[in-house]
Amino acid sequence: MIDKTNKTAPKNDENIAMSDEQQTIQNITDQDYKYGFVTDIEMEAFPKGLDENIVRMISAKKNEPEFMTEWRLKAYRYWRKQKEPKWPKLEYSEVDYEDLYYYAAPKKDGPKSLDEVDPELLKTFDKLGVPLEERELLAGVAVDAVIDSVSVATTFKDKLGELGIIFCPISEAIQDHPELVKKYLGTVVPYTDNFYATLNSAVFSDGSFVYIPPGVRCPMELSSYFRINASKTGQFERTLIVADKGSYVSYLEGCTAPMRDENQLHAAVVELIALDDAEIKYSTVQNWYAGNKEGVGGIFNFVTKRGLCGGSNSKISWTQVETGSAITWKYPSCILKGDNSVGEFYSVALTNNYQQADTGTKMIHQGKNTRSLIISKGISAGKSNNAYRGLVKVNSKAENARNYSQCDSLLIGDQCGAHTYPYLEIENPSAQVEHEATTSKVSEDQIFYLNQRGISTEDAVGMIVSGYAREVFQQLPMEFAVEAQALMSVSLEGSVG
Amino acid sequence: MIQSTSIFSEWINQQIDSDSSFAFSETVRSPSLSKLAKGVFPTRKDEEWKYTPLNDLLTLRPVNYDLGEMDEESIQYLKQAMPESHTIVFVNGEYSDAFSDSPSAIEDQGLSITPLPELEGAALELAEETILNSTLTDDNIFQHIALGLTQNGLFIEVDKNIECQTPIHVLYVSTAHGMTGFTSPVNVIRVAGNSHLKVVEQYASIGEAAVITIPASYVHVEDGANLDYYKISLENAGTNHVCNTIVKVARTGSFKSHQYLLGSNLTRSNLEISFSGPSAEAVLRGVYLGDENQHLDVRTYLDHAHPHCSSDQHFRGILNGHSRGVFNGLVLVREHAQKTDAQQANKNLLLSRDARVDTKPQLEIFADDVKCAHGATVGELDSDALFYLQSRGIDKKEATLMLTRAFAAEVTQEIDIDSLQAYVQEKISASLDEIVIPSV
Repeated sequence: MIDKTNKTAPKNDENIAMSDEQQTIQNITDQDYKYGFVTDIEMEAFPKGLDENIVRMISAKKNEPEFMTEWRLKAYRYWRKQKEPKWPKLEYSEVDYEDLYYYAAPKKDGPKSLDEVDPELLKTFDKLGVPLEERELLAGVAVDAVIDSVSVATTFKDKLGELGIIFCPISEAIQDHPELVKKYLGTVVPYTDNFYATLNSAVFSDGSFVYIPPGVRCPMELSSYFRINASKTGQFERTLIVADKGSYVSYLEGCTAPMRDENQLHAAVVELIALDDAEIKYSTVQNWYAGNKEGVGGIFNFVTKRGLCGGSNSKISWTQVETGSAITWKYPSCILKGDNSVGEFYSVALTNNYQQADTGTKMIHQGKNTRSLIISKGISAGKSNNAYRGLVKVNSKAENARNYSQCDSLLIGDQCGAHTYPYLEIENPSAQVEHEATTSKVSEDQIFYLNQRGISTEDAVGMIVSGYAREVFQQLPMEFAVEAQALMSVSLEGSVG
Repeated sequence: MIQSTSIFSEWINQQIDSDSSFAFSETVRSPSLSKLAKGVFPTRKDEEWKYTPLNDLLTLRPVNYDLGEMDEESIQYLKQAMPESHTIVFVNGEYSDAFSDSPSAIEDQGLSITPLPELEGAALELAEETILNSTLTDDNIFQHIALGLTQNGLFIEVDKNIECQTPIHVLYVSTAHGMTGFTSPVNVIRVAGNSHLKVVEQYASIGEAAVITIPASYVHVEDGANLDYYKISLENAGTNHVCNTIVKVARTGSFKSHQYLLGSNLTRSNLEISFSGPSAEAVLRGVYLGDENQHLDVRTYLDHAHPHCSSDQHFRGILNGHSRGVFNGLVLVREHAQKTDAQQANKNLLLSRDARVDTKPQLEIFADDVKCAHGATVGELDSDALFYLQSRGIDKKEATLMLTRAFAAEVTQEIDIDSLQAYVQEKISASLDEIVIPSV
């Protein structure tokens, strides 16, 4: 008799533990999108669909010089011949590219100062908790705020101007600095690169342009806030950052999007170019609408991000915290062309409900003594799928290349998936390449340990996940680290405690 | 490409129409023949063949050859790997009565070894059922060439609760001179509940034979059974070897595979394992050693569909000259396969400037309470270790050889048939002696 009760007792405990866990998962699943709202601003939109005329109209609308129009048209013609890639581990309803608006902008054009900015717009920022005024006050952060497609406010421009730093919407750069744009645009991500990058090249609306002159260390973190706002507007941002010899810049990109039922397409392109001894640090916190609990809606995020370490001793570092979007397809990459150049990739990707992420990096070693580091932390919960897909390629002339990759996955609940697809292509014997990956779950022991210290299960999971992703958070600039931590706890809220 | 595949396809069609006596019934053959009729060869756009071009292979026009000449001396030489075993010899794809140990000499009760042409009745049905119950995720045309065109091969069956003491040594020898021969043996192995069996498959060539070898093996390991399955591929440089191995392991069964791919111009080994019950185990080991223009491609696919199963993979590559090594492994842990323990390791050593490695160790995981890890490394010999040995008066070549042999030995030492272990290590050493040049 005693034996029997002893045997059944732990079983009950287990059941309770199980239901706790399920409760936790349930809670995560039940969460609504916190930043869900639609800003009611009059939009000026072109007709739906895409043809050469639309491309010309976009170009004309922006008063672009001839070379840009031609470039866009070349991209458009090339895109027509391309097929959407099917290789990622992603499942989604097909995007009807003829049913999208390719240009949308707030109706009021070019406000000179914050006072001229549409009050509705300012309210949007208020709701996001990033009012421009406060941002301005926040030492060291200049905000190039983008609502939909046209930049409406740029701050700290004068201060940066004194140092010769150019930080402006790319549409402005095309007109004010055509020589720089012509020299660098499309050199890292050519218009023939891939389906989404090609589309972006044809129809990109706006984005940021940064140029850091030789020897200048940018004194503040440059930051741009993106919002997807107009209904059914494909968002095609284009960012180009050039760090000239011996310069340094840290760029922050962060986004939240209003709640919406229709899938929204986002196909951005980011190009980074670091010349001799230059360093670029690019950080992203991405929290677009991920769809509701049933997986309806949410942003389709097909992004091409690539950096070229063109000069010797140059360095490019990508840090990303991906918690949003229904679909994430994103591989921030480094081409390590200069000798002794360094590429880094730090990533936390969290998927929940029906979110799908296929993300990772490519490190292409071309120069001698090039080094790369990949730290990827995937967290899957709910019914989501989270894949790391990465390439480390060492060309035959890249002597003494060194790579270390670590790609860990954490599973929360038994309905989700975590996948790792590393590709290592090594053509030089002096290379030293290591890849490691592990998969684990938040263990009951860990939670129990924290529970017995008086920490609720929810807080415990939050702590464990934060600890798990800490290596990446440490790479973020302070302002972003705070936001990223907050996002993580929002995403895990209810899951843990 | 279309031009080149047509040569091989044309030849396949001739084979289909020939009046040879094929090993299997229409049930097995017809699905394969309809695939063959389409004649679609994988290209580098197929993810599973991304790093392995088939152009060279597909421009070959194989011929059928008769039982080649074979002497006792050559056989004794090849038998040295396994002096104490039941030896079954195939010469140029034909079962050789003369050189094989007679099946009746087999002392183990409950073990039957039958060449495919002699299969009939219930045994043939069982062999075909084993094949029909196996599916490949990489459903490539080579499997269908084997199933549709094979005239020979083996069916090995072990009854329940049999401890087979003597390993089975299956030798596939090619002797054809100066022409492109072709063999596609099919091996079907069934190990019934709680039985133990060791099988060694060895592929070898005598002389200058230029051969296309396209074997396929179908293996069922039933409840609590144990199979050690060794494959030694040591054909000459004129050979192309493309094999498919499909394994099912039932509840608490254990499957151990060792692959030593040491020869051939092109080697592609596809090994797919699925567990059909809980607490089963798979251990995969392998070394691929390449020189000159050799191309060695290892693909593994482990399907964990049941809880408490474990898999452990460890493959090592040594590449010299212009050779290329490919490792493409996938571990799939399905929903409900809780408590899975899956390990996957691939280590590569590049000995020359022009050698190349592409490795792709992949994990796909749909269960949360699992222990899965993988790792891959590529590099050259540790210069500190070389220096250490040199500082002890060992010249650079010898030091390189020692370290390279040791690199391979970490896998080969797990071979638990002593004579085979010695043989494989010796073969690896011999190849290394040849390829490691003093200036390295």
